[in-house]
Amino acid sequence: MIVIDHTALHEIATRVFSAAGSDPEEARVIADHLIGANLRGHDSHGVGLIPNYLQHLAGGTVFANRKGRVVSENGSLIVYDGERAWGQIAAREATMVGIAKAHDTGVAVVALRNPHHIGRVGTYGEMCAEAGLVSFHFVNVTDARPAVAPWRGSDARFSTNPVCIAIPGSEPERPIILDMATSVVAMGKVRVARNKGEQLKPGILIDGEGKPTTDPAAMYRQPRGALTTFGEHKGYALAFVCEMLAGALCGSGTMRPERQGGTTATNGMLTIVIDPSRLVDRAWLQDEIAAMTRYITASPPRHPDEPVLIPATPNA
Amino acid sequence: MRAERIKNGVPIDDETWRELTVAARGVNVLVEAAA
Repeated sequence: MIVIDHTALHEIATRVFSAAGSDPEEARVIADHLIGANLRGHDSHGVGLIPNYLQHLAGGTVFANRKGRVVSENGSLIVYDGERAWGQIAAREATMVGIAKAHDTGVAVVALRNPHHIGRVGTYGEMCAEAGLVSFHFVNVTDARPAVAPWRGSDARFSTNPVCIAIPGSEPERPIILDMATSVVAMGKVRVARNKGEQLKPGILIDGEGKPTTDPAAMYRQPRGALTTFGEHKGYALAFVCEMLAGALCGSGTMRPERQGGTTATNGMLTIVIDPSRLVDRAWLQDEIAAMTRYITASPPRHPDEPVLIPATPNA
Repeated sequence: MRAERIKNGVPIDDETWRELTVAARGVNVLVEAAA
């Protein structure tokens, strides 16, 4: 294990993406995103992604200095094509388009299709919350190997299909961010466990025969194992609708067999952005959030060293 | 978490670091000295 200063890590990531062809601004944005994930404890979405990203770049499934574009705009409905740009660039731009539209009309629905892997979805929720907006983000994955088994199934049929819901907090620097995979853990956490030589907790994985296992290596041999969804049928149901909302409704495509097994990752993301001030008084909303947060977190913890949290902390 | 890592650094496991340095070398970036 090494421990590295975040500014040094940022410099490394920036140099790598610059050397890989990105202009300085693009390299900075990607580095900001990856190191931001590391700083928040989401190591599965941090600099550990760089080796795969560079492989995808070399394979021609993502392009440096490529910009996405608005394909259509119909009232508050926007279709945004990522044009195989770095996902951190395309999804950021799509989110900025959604923020501008929500400020203008009160609500925006952005269908993002065809970007490279967009990274940590919470980043986009944080952008919306920082702009004083509420947002919902539903994500699916294609052009990669499926990693998650459906409830009652014995092999992987879709990916970790994350969901993010962001709400401006009563304190601007502490937005409420629900950001989670619909699998028990994200695939990156399996990679991290494998790299550390650690076993996973029971209930997270099944092996290539559909039997429960704690060995992360089950995801790296044939027949390949699968992650399970959280909360049994409930997590599965949420993963299922993510696939439909982000894959089918956004036009990005679902992980049907024809879109599996690629050596890259494509995300679809349905983003809904709402200006809360069009619904309720903003000061009242902040007071309400603060009061209810205080009430919930005042619940006496069952274990003294495990206080009640709110979805603003990594993995809360 | 964020404040703690800003103050004390970001932990990277050995295999992830090895993979990162190999990938960086692939684009002619040497990073060992920065660790």
